[in-house]
Amino acid sequence: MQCRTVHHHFEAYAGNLCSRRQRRAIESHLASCPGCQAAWTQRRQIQEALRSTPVPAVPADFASRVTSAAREQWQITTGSTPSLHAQLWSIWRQMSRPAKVGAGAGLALGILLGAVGGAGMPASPAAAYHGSLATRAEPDPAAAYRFDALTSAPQGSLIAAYLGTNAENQLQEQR
Amino acid sequence: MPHERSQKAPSVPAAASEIDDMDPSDARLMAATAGGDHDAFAQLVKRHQKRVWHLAYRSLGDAREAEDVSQDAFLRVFRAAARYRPSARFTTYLHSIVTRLCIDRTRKRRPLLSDHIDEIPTTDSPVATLERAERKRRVQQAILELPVKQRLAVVMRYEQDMSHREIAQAMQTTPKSIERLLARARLALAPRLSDLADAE
Repeated sequence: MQCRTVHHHFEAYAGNLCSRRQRRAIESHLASCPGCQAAWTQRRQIQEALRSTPVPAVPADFASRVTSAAREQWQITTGSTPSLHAQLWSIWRQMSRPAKVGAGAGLALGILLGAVGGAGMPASPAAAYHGSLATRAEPDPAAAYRFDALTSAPQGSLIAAYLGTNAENQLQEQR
Repeated sequence: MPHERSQKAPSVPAAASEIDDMDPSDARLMAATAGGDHDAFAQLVKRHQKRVWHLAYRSLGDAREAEDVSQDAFLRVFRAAARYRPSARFTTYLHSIVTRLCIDRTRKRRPLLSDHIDEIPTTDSPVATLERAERKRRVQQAILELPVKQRLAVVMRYEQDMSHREIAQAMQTTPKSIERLLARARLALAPRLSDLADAE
């Protein structure tokens, strides 16, 4: 294997991407070629130099600033806050496991109690209302306000005057 | 001759049933982000901010520019959450965004001078501090003098242990092109950094 070919395969060799035959050929060449051995050493040195030279830490408030900017963009884009589902899901994810278990048990108990306690209820509110009307014994409180406007109009009212005028007209027509 | 083994990034769980609610996958967090869950997005940011920052800083050499690029990258991820499809690893997707932003940013400005290298607080002695600062300056300057694509490939391969395939996906090229980039970068860096490694 030539030096140029070995150099070309350095990265694949370092990443364990070569075939077994290629790897043996490269290792055999490196063992006998000072130039390629030096190049391989240089690669290792570059990696060590980079890894031993730290970069500044991420700013402490970076995540919060990015999240705030994203939230502003969301509100501008949608014109609203996150959906109720998203908020509830967010609260659920922040709860500890015991809290989740307790919330789930409470929800199940509430559903169970609602199912048991509601067994004697009528099928619908409308059915309940009409059923109660059917069994009511007391007189209809609105009965006092019901009157036949054409036959029982109060004296001196406009309706009585109209009815009187209308009755005289009918008598004249019959004559 | 022993060869180096690259550390593989943890893989994304294959089935939804494998996902633990206490440590959701990146794909699940992206789906939640698309639904307006800002806490899920915050978790994504905290999980990946260090590698994004690291890549941006190494590529640009300036903390303020690195912060701008890093924030821009995450906001682009946020805006594209509804369209995101986990056809590749989220880290590869994120790196592709950071890579494009670094390339664009580099093309718009002049090469950074070594005097602008940011200092890192340390508790070493004054002599050790000076030596460390000088070493850091030389390494960073050597990196910054590379063409931007070689720079990005070097950081992703030698510092973040990404595979050639992952780097190629992030830079939207082929693994063979990445091999050539790294080979050229190595030829440029070796004369400038070999004595630093020997001094360790």
